[in-house]
Amino acid sequence: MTQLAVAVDSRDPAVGLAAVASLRTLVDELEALHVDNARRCGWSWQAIADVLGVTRQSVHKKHRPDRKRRPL
Amino acid sequence: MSSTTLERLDHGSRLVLVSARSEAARLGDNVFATEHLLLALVSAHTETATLLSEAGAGADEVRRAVVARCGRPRRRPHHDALLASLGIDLTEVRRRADRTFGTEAVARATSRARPPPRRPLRTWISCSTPLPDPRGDSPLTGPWLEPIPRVRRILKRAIRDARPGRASPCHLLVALVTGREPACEILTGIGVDLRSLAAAARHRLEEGDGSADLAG
Repeated sequence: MTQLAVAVDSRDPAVGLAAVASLRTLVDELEALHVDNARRCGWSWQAIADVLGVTRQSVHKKHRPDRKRRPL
Repeated sequence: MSSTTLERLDHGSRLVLVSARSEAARLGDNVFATEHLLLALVSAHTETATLLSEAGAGADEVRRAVVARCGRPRRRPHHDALLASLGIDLTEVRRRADRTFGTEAVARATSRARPPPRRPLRTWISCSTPLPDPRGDSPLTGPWLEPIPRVRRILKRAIRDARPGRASPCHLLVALVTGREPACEILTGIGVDLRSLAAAARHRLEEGDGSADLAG
């Protein structure tokens, strides 16, 4: 794993772009995790949006509970 | 996995399934097999861990035996290498997320963060490239692994035994050790007597009312 990271030429656009895409997915997952936690702690959507630096509407649209999707 | 199967499992068993899937991803395996179910049963905070360690199979021993049997990790999630090239240690991120929020919360958040399935394009644009799998590779919980048929058969057997109640982790353990599964060979290799283990698990099921496992 580390050898791959070292061996890889960092100026290779394919690797750089894939790494950014991977990072974006990770950020989305961490955001979902922390928003879940905040809702469980009783935070309002407005409070969550203030800390994230986005509008209340956008954070609600992205993270509202979806009844249709299965948990596992 | 069908939703009816999940409905017939109690809370503890669902946690066991989630942790078995993440064990498989952590070991770098391509499938979710009976060995991973055994690993989850032995490391879960339920009575199955107690039963197994009383029978002589501690969590560390089982883990060592499974790793020795499955050999070296066959496949690495590519997220690890990609994020390492940015200087991010994904293993550490995973460990902290699990420790702070618990495996189940991480799995739930990850499933929610996945993009919803896209409608197929009904235009003149060619669709020769397949659309990305909505349940694709996740950096936090690893790739989505479907259980192999053996694992599904174990689940079915546990559910049948548990009727009319829901299958607890103890039912899963009984179904696992009474079948002729690869995981049973691991247990006998450690020196576990499968028959007495199954008898002890059945005894535990009869004396406890089964719902005691809900909290686990």
